[in-house]
Amino acid sequence: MTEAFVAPDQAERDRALDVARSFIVQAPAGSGKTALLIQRYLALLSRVERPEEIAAITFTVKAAAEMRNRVLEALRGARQSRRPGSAQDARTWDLARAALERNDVLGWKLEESADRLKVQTIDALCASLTRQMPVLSRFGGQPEVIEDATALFAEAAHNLLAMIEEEGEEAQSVARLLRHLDNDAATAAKLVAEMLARRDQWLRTLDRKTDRQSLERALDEVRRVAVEEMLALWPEGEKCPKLGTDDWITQAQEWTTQKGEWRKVGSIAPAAIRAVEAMLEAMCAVKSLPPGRYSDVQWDALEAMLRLAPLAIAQLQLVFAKHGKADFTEFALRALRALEGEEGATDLLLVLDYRIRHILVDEFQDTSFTQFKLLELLTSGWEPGDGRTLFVVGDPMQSIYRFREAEVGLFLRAWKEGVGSVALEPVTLSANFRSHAGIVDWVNHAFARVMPVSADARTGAVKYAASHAVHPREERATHMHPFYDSDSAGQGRTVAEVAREARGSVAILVRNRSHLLEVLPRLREAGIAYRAVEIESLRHRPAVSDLLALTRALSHLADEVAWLAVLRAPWCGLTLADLLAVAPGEAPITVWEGVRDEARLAKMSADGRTRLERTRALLARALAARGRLGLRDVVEGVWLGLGGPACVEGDIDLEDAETYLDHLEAMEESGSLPDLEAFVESVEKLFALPDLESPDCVQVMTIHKAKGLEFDTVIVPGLAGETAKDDASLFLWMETTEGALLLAPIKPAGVEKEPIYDMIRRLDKTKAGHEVGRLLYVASTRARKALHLLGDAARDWKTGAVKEPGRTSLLHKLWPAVAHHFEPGDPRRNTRAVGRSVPVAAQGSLRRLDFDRFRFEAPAAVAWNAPREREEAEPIEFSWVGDTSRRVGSVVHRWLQRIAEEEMRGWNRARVEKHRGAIRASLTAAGLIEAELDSAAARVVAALTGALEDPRGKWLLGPHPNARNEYRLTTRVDGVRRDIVIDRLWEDLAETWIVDYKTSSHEGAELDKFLAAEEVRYRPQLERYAAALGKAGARRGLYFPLLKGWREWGSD
Amino acid sequence: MEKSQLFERLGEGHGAALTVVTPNRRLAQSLARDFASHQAARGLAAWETADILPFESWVRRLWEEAAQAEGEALPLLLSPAQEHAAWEEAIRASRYAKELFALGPAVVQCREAWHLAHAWRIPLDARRIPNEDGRAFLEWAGNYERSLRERGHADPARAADLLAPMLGGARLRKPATLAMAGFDIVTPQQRGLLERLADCATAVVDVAFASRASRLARVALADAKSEVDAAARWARTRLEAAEGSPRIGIVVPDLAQSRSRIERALANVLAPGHRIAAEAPVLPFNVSLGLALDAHPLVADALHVIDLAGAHAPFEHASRVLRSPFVAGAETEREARARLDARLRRRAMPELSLDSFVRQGEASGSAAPDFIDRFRRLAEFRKSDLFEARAASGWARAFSDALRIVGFPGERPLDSREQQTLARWHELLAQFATLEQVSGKMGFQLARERLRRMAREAIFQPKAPDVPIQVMGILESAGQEFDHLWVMGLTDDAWPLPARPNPFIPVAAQRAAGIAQADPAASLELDRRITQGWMECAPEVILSHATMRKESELSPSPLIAMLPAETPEALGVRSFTPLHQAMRAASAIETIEDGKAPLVGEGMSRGGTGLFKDQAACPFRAFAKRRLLAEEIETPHTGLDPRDRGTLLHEMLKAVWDRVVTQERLASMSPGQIETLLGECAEQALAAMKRRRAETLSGRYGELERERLVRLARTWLEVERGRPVPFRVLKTEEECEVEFGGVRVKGRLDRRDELEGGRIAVIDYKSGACRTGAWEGDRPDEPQLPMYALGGPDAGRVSVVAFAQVRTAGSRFRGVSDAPNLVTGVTTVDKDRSQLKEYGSWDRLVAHWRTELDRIGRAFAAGDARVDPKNLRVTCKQCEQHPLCRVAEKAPFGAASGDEEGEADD
Ligand code: SF4
Repeated sequence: MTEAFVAPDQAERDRALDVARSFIVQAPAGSGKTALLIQRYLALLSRVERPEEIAAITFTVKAAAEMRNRVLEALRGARQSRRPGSAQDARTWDLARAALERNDVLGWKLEESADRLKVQTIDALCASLTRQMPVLSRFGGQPEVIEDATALFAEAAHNLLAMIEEEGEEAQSVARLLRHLDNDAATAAKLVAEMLARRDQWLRTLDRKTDRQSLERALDEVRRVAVEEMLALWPEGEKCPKLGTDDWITQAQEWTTQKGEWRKVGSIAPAAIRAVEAMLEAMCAVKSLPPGRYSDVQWDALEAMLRLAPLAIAQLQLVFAKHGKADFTEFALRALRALEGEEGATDLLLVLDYRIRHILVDEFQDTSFTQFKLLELLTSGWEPGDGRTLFVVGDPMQSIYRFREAEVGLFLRAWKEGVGSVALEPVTLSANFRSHAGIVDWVNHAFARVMPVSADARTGAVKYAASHAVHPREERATHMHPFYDSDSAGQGRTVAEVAREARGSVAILVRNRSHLLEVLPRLREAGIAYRAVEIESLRHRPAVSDLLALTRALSHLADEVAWLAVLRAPWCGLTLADLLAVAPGEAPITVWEGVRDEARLAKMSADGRTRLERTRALLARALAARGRLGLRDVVEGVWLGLGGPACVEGDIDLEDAETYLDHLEAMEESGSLPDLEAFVESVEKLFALPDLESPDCVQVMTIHKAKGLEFDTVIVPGLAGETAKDDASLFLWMETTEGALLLAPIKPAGVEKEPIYDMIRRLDKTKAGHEVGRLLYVASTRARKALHLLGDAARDWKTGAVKEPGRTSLLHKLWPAVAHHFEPGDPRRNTRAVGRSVPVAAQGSLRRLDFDRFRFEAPAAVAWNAPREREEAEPIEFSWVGDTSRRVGSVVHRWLQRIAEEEMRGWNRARVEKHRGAIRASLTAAGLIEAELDSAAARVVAALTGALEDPRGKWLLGPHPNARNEYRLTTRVDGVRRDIVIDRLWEDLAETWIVDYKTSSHEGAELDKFLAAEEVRYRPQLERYAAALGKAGARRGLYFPLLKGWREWGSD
Repeated sequence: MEKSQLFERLGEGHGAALTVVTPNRRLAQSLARDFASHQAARGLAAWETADILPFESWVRRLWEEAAQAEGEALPLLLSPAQEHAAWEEAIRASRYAKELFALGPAVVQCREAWHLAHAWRIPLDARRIPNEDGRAFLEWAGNYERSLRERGHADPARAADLLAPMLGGARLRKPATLAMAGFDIVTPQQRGLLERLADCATAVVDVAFASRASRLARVALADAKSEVDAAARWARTRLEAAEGSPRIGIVVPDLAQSRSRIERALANVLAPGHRIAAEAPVLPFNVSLGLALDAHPLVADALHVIDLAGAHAPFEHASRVLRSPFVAGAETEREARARLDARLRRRAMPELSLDSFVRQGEASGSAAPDFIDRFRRLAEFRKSDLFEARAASGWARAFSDALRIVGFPGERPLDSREQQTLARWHELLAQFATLEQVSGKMGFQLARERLRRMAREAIFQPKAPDVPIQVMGILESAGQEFDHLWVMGLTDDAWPLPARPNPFIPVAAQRAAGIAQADPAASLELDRRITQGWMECAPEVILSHATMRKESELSPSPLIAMLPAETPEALGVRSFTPLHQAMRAASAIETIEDGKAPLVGEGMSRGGTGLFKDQAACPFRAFAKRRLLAEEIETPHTGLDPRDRGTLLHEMLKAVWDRVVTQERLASMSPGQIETLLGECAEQALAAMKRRRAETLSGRYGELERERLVRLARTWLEVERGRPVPFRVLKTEEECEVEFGGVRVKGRLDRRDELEGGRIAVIDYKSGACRTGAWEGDRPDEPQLPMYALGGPDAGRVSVVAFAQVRTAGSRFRGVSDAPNLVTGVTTVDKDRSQLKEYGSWDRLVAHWRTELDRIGRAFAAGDARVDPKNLRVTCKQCEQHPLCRVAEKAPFGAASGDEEGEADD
């Protein structure tokens, strides 16, 4: 871009930088909205008191990091480099310069504390709000975020259903729900769990009126509106019968066919009516209107669901609390709650130490209801011109996250009505800085047809807004490659060809991972390096599958499939015959018992036996040590020991194995998997890590993942792929035109038609249909230079005519623009597709380690002088008695130390008695329990008075030269360090005494024997002391204050 | 005071009366170790232990000494566990207790806020705390103080303040010199105590660490993993190059999260073969952070046993206890218990009580008598001793009794790690008992939760020998000295640490008080000092950061960004081949032909007619399921599974037809009679199932199931009533034998009707959708009915085969016959709507069946076990044998399985 360059929509861009006003910006693909956001952020920085006053909200963590980095870069650029030449860059530089000045004046030190730039995802924002408001959010403390809470939803659902056996009305509601679902508890649990996952959407509906009367009123309204809409189209001059709603429905049914076409025989609508363009659609809408009342069956079910919904939420909270985890939705809901406050909106100044004065939101088209509400709360009380601004940017044409609760209608609503109290000025960008004109023109042409003609917030219909290419046209940019009759192999070949020919960056984008089933093998065949981002599940990669079998086997001895699989895996490689020999068959034993049964082993081949024994040895070791290491370590250890890495097919498998093992470690709890089934399912969602080192190869990803990225060449195969039918929901809801709420319960098992449910479902489908068009738009606009579309059309077997693609496919949307590329084929060609199968050569093959050739030695370990292991203490016997004695002992020691330090001056029985309270306190502080306190204190007192009144004790505790008490020494013997404590020590000219106190007690006769035994026990200890002191000649003594016992030796 | 002087003074022994305090335990240990090396280097074999301890411990020690010195009973200074419990009680007593999501973290933060307020002298003035969070905190603090007062306890947050006036006491021993080592921050409270101490003639000095000129380097690595790996390789390179034992430090800011990754990387680099060595070698590194006590399996299992003694426990907990190595008899009955568990899984609910656990164990004719016996005793003990409220000490005793009953910690000898863990567990129980000081009686539930929480919060690490490489967190690195230091994770979003003010004190007040964590500017200053400290504490200092985290790009921390980036290679860091790569390089693979199992022997084959179905779907599956009899482990689910519900339906309809027998009879029955009949039949059907699934079916759910059966049968009888040709039911659930291609199997024919005129119809009940196309082709999906038609009783006369699709809505027959209009929904072959019609006539269809069934049988008999699923996507989807058949290795089988949007099959 040259200096003189001015974008066609420059005026709009300039307007959007007015930091005194709030805007909503529609920014189509390639319009450079990030640059605009950065500029506005910089502009705001130079106005605020603290950088934290600006909250920028991005859709992904990655986008947040990118935006923050770009702001910092701009700041650095403004500090270090000269003003650039190009107009856009200069603008940014100027803004950054101003921001820097502010930074320097106010001492923000932004360049050093990047964290002060509050650029974050909405999830992170919610987390930080709830963290600062533990009570208002009712969190208490931050739980751990769990991205995939499926297992917790299931647990909550189960708990809800389990209420059926309890007393009370709840049980009745559960029973009614189950009855409605044919008492299918599994389905019911699944539906409830799914409902909980989407609670963000419906939770707010529960606050509304949901009695039968209000709901039926809403129903009535829907019916009335549909008829009115139809009548509004009625041609003038045509006689219009005066009919009630139900009669209109009958009439509409008579005039139109099942397929939704005008009837051509029988009851035919007047020609004038049929001539009205939108009449057919309106008529069909009337035709499928539900009756004006819920049936009793429906109402019964719906009422039960309405009662259960809050209970389900309560169960979910309990489950979250129990696990100390919560999903993002919970954070958002809690953040809302905290902002709403108990007594009116919460003042964030008090919470955060600053006020949020400016908010920037990126990707606003993918906002959810909760997020929208959050924005409303954050901006509540804002008034025009009060210096606070909201700036939301997005492209409704790129709203593709319905499955994550994105609601494009909110963008449309904000466009018209603003957010909360903040009115937004619309800004529309139209320059496209990304793609070449060839692509932009094609997109303009095609999507004017693909997207609806008018916007409608209710159905999520978004009108197409054209772009103007900044880059000139180059060679032919858009290619439609037609295929016929499920020719996925053909598509795969073409993809490979295009990818090979293409220059620059290349991406293959698909809607569903399954569309790649034929593509990836072709790429591999063609030797094209690719990097698949979250495409291939690791679950069925052989290396991972083997590790999973090993995990299962080591987790459960009775998992026969897993155990046999371990024996069949390449590291062991038993033949079918050998497997048959050791498998338990009908015997009531485990495989592990089978492989140790001599009678069975005798039936094996010699080679098989050798193989088995090798494997068995390793497994035996692992089983013997179960519960000692983490499961991951056990599995990995056995895998390595068996030669697992030598069994994989490529280096990439080693990485996959590591990814799996890391996942295993993340999922295990204290050495085992809390729920094996959930774990196996979670592996399904495990993907190979993207390779960061090779960014230049072909990128393969879903369209969703590609959002925000751009490539020179984009290839979109599998356009004709359809999506599966949506699963049913427990209940559906919609808002009527007048804002009333309408609800419908799921159809009872086996029932095919349920008009209210079906009607709401149709609305859902319409929304989904609109999103398909937008998905296509996102895919197409990723391309800079070339766009290749590959689609497959079926042809009629008899006539060879091309059939219209399936309704939910991308190709169906695109059909008006590309149908002419598809040509009819020969009639009567056999086109029946065949199921996929295993190649014949592989069906009976067994791939395994060849132990004749497999030789292996581990690489050398580090050379260092390992310290000698310390000998271990004797085993601990736990008992309450032992514990009490230990505490009594320590308190006695402490007091004896003091008495000795004071050389017994003033110490006698009375004084000890006087200290009984302090002694009790010492004992309590030492952790003694109340029940033992009296007797323990008595023992301490007995020990102390015993020592004070015993002549030996008097001698010991009395004055001695050079006396030390509790004398702490460190010794070093053969490199092993040891800390010791000598209870009492003194040295005079003649001799040195080393004395240890022992608070042992002894009942009954033969005290001498007991003391002798004690001496034997403690002798080594005192010898060590003597050695440490270097006083081999010291006299050693053991004093037993409770027994007034004494043993001495040494010096002679 | 310089460090060398310090050691000299410490070397003087007790005469010097020198105490060293540090901000944390780690530094105290490290200094003690330094001092020991220093003394050892002087050639001493024994010396007086230096008095080095963390500030907090020192305060506690002073407290105890003061108590003794005065001879008066000083109030009990709460232990951390007691303090925690006291706060918990304080919150519990408020209205928030029920509303808060989690009490535990709130307690931690409150306690922190309380300590901060006292340490930094922030007045907690109700007027200055305007929001609800602050008000709640004040309320709790009030409760806390009241409880302290009432129970006469001393508050650890104020121990230093309470001690200060006592320092003057003559009897209290005070050090002549107090050396402060490694304090980046001294709080006003600490300063107060130190000043008072100084008044009492103790010299308070700072220990200065000599700064050294360092070779500094910044290293940028692709991601956290390569960062850790590089640090590990660096450590090994330096260790091998050094003479003697160097001190190598690795500082990891998020140690708690990345601990195991670091341990593994170090272990793998330092001793690649350690995982496959016969005996685990001692590795030259130590990580300063332990694991939560409850992460140790021994403790986790103990807690699970206690859990199981509660009202309900998840089945998985019970299962874990059943298979735990820490319960008596775990070795002797190891396999038996695993089998028992597998059996229980088939009939258990996802939650169960101890009683029902024991009952089910007993009912399954257990081979694990020791286990059952112990848990029966535990159940009895529970009834007598694990109820009603009691003090914490009472619970501690009851819990340890419960554990004794089940024979914890098991018959396997404990290794040293387990020994230490067990000792720590006992200590925890004893600590738990002391909670009686701060909280009153509690119920089982609460006691168990508290114990669990304490176990989760007790960080415990078994003792490790002195080793050259130390891995530590940021806090512990302060003031330490090394020969080589590597600090990792220094990205701009992690360092300086983001400000994290405590939510319970107004941020402005915290900032004003100078608390770094509440103020970005102060935090930056502090972290700059810490960074400076690193840069001076070793001759070689490496500061590293990753450039990517997942998909986000990262920048270096601004505090290190000015250093030029270098590569590990440039620093002389060597590469070491990891074990798995070396192993892979040595790989030697052979591929042999092994698709044929030994021939099937004479006599009856296992698996019934399902064997043919499996063989047709995939020969390997038939081999695995019918010859190896391989089954996987099940997971208990809510309610009945489809299999059980199918069985119930069969039993129901059997009961009905056993009584009704003919269509004529059916027609003659009044609605009332039918209802009575259906009710009785449902009872009968359920009775059998109840023996296996008593827990599931006993209550309201069972009642609903009864209703469902009646409803189903009622709609079904409508279908039967409308059949055009009168019929008599000859047999229901009839046992028979069929043989094709030399394979003989047992079968159970759902139903055999005789139509008026002598034709025989064979009927199969289905509760799902069914299609006649399942009888088509050379690999029929559902070969059972053709098998009965051709090889079952009355085979010659069968001329109707039909699925009876019995559902709440859409019940109907589906089938073919040799003549039209025999049964509603059953057509002649040529009128069939599936591809079956291509056979044209009944006779041709039957001939085809005969050929194919014989072929399938022969293939099985011959041992055909090829991995040849009929349709990879469909057949394998419902098959559990894929780990065994290894289909994933043979065809791209799974690529579609991770699909978020899914796609329709067929
Ligand atoms: S998974 Fe597929 S290939 Fe393997 S046994 Fe089952 S059906 Fe056969």
